[in-house]
Amino acid sequence: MKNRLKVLRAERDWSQADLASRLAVSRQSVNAIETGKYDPSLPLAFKIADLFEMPIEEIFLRD
Amino acid sequence: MSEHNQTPGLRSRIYKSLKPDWAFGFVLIVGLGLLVLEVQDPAQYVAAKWSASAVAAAAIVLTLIIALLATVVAALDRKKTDDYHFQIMANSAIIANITAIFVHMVWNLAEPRLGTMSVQIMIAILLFAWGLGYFFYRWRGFGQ
Repeated sequence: MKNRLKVLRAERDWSQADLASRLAVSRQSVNAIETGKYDPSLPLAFKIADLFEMPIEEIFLRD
Repeated sequence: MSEHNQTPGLRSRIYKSLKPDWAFGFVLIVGLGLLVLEVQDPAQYVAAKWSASAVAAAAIVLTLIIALLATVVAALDRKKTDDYHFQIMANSAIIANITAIFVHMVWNLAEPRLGTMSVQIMIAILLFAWGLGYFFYRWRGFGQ
């Protein structure tokens, strides 16, 4: 699954560590999601959507 | 046409025909059966003072208790560890189990040369494979 996490994070000038801290996950988790190595669980996807105040489908895209 | 509308291939059909409940029911029965049979073999335990049936009963009770504790600990892990690391640990544990079972089978075939595999070696293989699996998933990921 593709996602726009890196772009959205860059728009807010957040580092991976900043985003990880806001989501209460590890920096490795953020890196793995951004590089497509890991698809987040549904609760984490909702958390990300809430943080960016966007619908999930605008952050996570079908391949 | 989308991928979902295509007829599934042979491999896909075989995977879908596998029923996890039946497969793990089989695994559970085979494991329990082996546990009961193996303790009957005097070569498996040298200094046991209990009868074979008492040893089998003790092994089953101990396994039940430890499995229950492990389930509780895994649930704690899931809550306290972030999802990504929990997924890696869980997936690499599957690799460790499969690796340990098949290494044991191959070792058995080569028993005349390698000797009998000790429990310590089995645990070492399990831990080694778990670590390998962990770093394999860290490197490759499992999002695809």
